[in-house]
Amino acid sequence: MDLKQKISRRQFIGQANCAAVGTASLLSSLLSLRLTAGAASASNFTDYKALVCLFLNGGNDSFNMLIPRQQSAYNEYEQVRGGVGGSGLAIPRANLHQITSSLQNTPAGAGYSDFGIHPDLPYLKTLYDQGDLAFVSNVGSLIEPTSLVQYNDGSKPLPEGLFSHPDHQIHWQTLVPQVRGTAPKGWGGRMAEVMSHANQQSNISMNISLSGANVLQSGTTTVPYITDPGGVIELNKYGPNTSLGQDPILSLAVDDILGHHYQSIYSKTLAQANRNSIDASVAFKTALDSLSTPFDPSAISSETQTYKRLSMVSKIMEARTALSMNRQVFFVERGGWDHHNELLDPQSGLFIELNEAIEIFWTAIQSMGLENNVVLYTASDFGRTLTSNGSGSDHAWGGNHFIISGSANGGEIYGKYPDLALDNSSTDLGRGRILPTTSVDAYMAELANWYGVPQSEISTVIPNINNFSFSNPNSPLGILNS
Amino acid sequence: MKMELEKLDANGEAIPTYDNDDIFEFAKVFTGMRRPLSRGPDTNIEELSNNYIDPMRVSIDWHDFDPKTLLDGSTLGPFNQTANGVRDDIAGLLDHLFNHSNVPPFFARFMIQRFTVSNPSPAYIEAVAQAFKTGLYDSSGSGDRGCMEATIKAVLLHPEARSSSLAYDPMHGKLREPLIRLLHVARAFEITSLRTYGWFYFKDLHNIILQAPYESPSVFNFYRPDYAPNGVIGDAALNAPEFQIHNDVTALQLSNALITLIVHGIAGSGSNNYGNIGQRNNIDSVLDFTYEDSISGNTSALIDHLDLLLCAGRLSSENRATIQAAADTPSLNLTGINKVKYIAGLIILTPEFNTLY
Repeated sequence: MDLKQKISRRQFIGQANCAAVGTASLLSSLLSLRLTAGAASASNFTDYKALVCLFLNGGNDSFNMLIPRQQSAYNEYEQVRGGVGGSGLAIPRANLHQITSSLQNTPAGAGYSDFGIHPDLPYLKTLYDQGDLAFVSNVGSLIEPTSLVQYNDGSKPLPEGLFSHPDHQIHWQTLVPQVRGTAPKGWGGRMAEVMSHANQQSNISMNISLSGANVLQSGTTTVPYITDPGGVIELNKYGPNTSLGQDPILSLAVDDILGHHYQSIYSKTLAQANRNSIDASVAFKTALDSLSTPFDPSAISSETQTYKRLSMVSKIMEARTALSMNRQVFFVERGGWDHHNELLDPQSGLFIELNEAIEIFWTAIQSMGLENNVVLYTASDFGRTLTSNGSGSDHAWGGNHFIISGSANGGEIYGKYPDLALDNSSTDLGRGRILPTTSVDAYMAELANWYGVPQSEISTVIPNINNFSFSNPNSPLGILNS
Repeated sequence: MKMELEKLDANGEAIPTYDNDDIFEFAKVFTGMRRPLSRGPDTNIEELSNNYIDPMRVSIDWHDFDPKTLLDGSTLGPFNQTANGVRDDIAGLLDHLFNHSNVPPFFARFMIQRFTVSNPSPAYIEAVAQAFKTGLYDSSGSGDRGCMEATIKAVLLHPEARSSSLAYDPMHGKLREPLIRLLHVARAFEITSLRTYGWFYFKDLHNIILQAPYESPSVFNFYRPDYAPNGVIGDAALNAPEFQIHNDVTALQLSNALITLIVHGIAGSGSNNYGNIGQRNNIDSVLDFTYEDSISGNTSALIDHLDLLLCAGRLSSENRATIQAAADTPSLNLTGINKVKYIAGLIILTPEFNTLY
């Protein structure tokens, strides 16, 4: 995407059609027919809203993040995880941070109210008890609601590449799990296209990544602006603010080189990409330098990678006015969750990192008065097997997630926490691989509705959403409906 | 007979060769291996903290000796419960994979994408796959499956890599790998290490350009073979894998790294850098511009020479004029080696240096 030019509606339609050629028919229809309405119905966005995706790459063992604490349910948990100590994967009940859920204490829920958060995530309990954090239980990629019987008899279509990292990661980001690969593009990219009128004054993409290129934020015509937690990277000696000062002769020569016509599609793409990167970096640096407390990467250089990335996110939010941003989506990834060989210690280390980084981040958000304007949510490839492989846990499907926002009806566990006893289970696919009961679509539709995607455009952003039915389509899970 | 390059199901989706059960099965083969013992002091190796040179050791007690089911349903093993049995188990699986019918076209496409073009025709892939399969290319090669001499010859000598008319095809070519671009500049100017053991220590390259030896983030390489950036490439339903790691950060970091290399050598922090690429607060490898310095009085001849070294003589007349005008700007007063570095620093920003076509 040319960051400086707003694409006209005509180009928009043309490009969408063109890109859809050769992909599944589902995609060509959704891209060509639905993209136009959002661009056509321009409206003024005066408020600020931001989504922050925290992607736990590798598959978080999230049945150790949110654990049943009710004694009988805990006993089932402890048994299926192979006990506490030795090669067992269970967390001692006494160490859990206790929370309660009234939604789960119903026939539609788990049937009990007492839950516990992993010992190394105390800040999540603080937020939960304040009502600023909600859990969503047993989420996974689905094409349609699917029961265990339907899974076993093959009567429902299933996501491509079940239990494989790259496939599940991509499914969480495209929301088109019936297609293998990235051709459907990311829902964050589609959302930016549907809402391209939200940031009309800005020359920076609505999607900003602190963790490199990703599927989520790449649409048919949009790509994320990628920045670095170490500070804004500029072409040295090009812009007015670079560390070695500006060389105006070099700047002009670079402008010439990148502005020349190139026949090769690789040369053309490279020149355009570099032009966009340079322009965006100058604009970004100018905006961040204009803050009363400019971003100082050296102050956080020894902190964890999640801390650094979330700190940069809060700094960019602080510069939202200078950047002319009304809507932003941030992508922050933390890898290292593929705990086949050992689960408890490495997961504990990662949770300690997340807990600290989220606390610092949310404190910064609160100090800016943005707690109702920001939603941080987790994503991850899949949950992991409840049973141990002897040392860790393996790839599975449904998992638990959380949403943090002042706008959330927090202090609750949404979805249905599954029965962790594997005998007579209605969700166990074997070895404690849990069939999801809440689709990623429902989870993401909750976010997209809050963000401001009109109901008429939801199926453009989330193509399978109509395969699922909700009592309130404006808030499928009821978390962000206030 | 035509080789089958691709098999699709009724919906046009590729049919997976293996699933999660196969991965579980194969993982059992690669058990019972551990790091080799330390080599002790060595006069030729600077980094001694780990032994990355000798083969791994076998621990029989840690190996899963149960027979394993292979992709075709046949059984691997059982083998004797000895160190040689472990090696036979591993060798047996590697042979099984190496001889799978998917390997020749799969490997051929990857080699072509790395060496010559991002979007080879089926005929090109087939020619390289045949060379891999038969071990022969134009009567050279060992005749053994997988012969690299025959395979690489097929990649480099195919008409689709060499015909001069290809220069007029805008779809021909590729973005070069960032590591190749960096090493190209280092080798073009005869990089010399100032360290005792002659090590070229590029620090944190995998963070700066998202590519460095042994730093692939997963078994799926640094980028997907079917990655397509938005714009003319994506619109044409073509691929350009290397663009997956060319983003707003890496594009500029690579440019800064290349200019640091040209201006200072492999330089760490504190040396007034465009971007740090070295290990510590010093310069420990330098480039040699002696020859370029000797012809620097004639800007045009100097650009000709640098164009040949860095762009294979493909620098466009427009870019050449831009660069010459900048380098000859009176206020810059560039002479000698400073002029060489200034011109080289601009050439590495041109598409002619960064892409093949």
